[in-house]
Amino acid sequence: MARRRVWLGFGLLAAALGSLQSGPAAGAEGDAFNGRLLFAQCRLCHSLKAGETKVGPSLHGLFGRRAGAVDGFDYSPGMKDAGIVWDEASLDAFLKRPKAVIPGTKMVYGGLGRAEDRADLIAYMKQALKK
Amino acid sequence: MKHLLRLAVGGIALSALALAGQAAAADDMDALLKRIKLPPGFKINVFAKLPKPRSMVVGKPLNTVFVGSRHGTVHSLRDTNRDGVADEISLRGDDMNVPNGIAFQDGMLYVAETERVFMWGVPAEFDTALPLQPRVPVFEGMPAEFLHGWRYAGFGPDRKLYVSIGAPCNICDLKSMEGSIIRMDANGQNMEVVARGVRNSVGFDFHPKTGELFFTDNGADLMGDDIPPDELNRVTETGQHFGYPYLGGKSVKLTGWEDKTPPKGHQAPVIEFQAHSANLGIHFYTGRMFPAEYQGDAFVAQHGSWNRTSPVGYRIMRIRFDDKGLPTGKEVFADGWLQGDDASGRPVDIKSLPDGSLLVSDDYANVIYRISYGG
Repeated sequence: MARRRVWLGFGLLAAALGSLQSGPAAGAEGDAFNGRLLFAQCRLCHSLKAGETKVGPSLHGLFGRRAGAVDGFDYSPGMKDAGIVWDEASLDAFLKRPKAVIPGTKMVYGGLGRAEDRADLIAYMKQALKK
Repeated sequence: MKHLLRLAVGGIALSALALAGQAAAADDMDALLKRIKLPPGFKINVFAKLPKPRSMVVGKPLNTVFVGSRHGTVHSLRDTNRDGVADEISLRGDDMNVPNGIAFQDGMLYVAETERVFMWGVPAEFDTALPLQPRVPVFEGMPAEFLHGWRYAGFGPDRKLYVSIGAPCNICDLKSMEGSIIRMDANGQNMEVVARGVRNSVGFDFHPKTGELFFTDNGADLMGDDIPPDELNRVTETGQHFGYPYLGGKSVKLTGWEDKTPPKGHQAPVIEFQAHSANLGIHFYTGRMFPAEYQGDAFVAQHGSWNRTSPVGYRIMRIRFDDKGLPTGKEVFADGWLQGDDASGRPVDIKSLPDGSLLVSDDYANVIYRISYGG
């Protein structure tokens, strides 16, 4: 009798925790396939190649870099003084609503409202920038 | 004993939270539907929930709805008990290369991927579980670029297959088939360019009386919030030029092309839409459910802006047409997917079911809606 109750308890617990786990917060990787489609928008202004400036700075070497640090790019004061180092967490916050994180940013982009979309985009960027 | 009981209760509580999460998602959809504003007498419900649905086609004779996407998948939907909700939703394939174009003729499904069109014969003994195999190539060699590589496809009253091919850029010179709408025989032969100078069309339809091709075109970026406009265009002769990359809308010179002369005889759009509203699927209404005033008018899905200072679009427009088959104006038919700066859905494509209700796909809310009237 007692043994059955243990399994019931653990079973429910495991099932519940499994279904609660979702999105980047729980450590699950985003879908880079969807991220590639989302990144098509970013490509309008950003290159992934080193040294290639478009409307926005190159994203080459983005992960681990300080915000506003690409040589020669004319950043907004807010971006230059942001004191942010780009990683998954800071990108997630910024891409949700760029002008809320960096008021006065030159980046004309409304943001990605959904956590899963941001996780997908970041997963694609990590993959694409590894080369 | 007490310890085990506490564990069990804790487990039940957590699983209740998870179920509540699912119930919350259903509540969100109910809340979304309540926010949609339609003219008096119209209703909207969820026809089907599926991941990232885009272009649709209703196949005959079983009225199966085939749905393409930009994520590799084609689904089929059936409402076998005619209650206005799909009861069979089947994945028919998930490995296609941006299968956004989808069309149907003579019992055959046509899928336009980025680089090619293939055909799949619908078996007489229809089975919604069958994968789309074999895929018979119909036309190959379309541009391979991913950007604007999401084709739109449809059969015209001439029984030819029309496919739109976007420009692989924001504003650039065009090579080969880039920036055009082409058509071909159903077997892929005799391809010809129907419209050139088209930046990125992801929707077209044929006027029910005149048979003329009308297509939407998405305007260029990086020229500010309000120019150039998105376009609705009318094709009156094969091979007409519609202005891109020289012009956007009737008269906006595009960045880098200000000093260049557009081709002689280029066509201006017949309707200009708000810049960045992302006008995609267009559908002429010929059903018998909606009031008579809607006959021959067109609905246009505005996917909504992604890079405008404040968002626009996220709604369905109605384009009125006169009895000569010419558009006379545009107005909002359904909105509410945008509340302030927050979007809850993005309309993509519009098609009629045989009963005259409208299906509208939404690749953000991941549903297909059904809009009905009366009853």
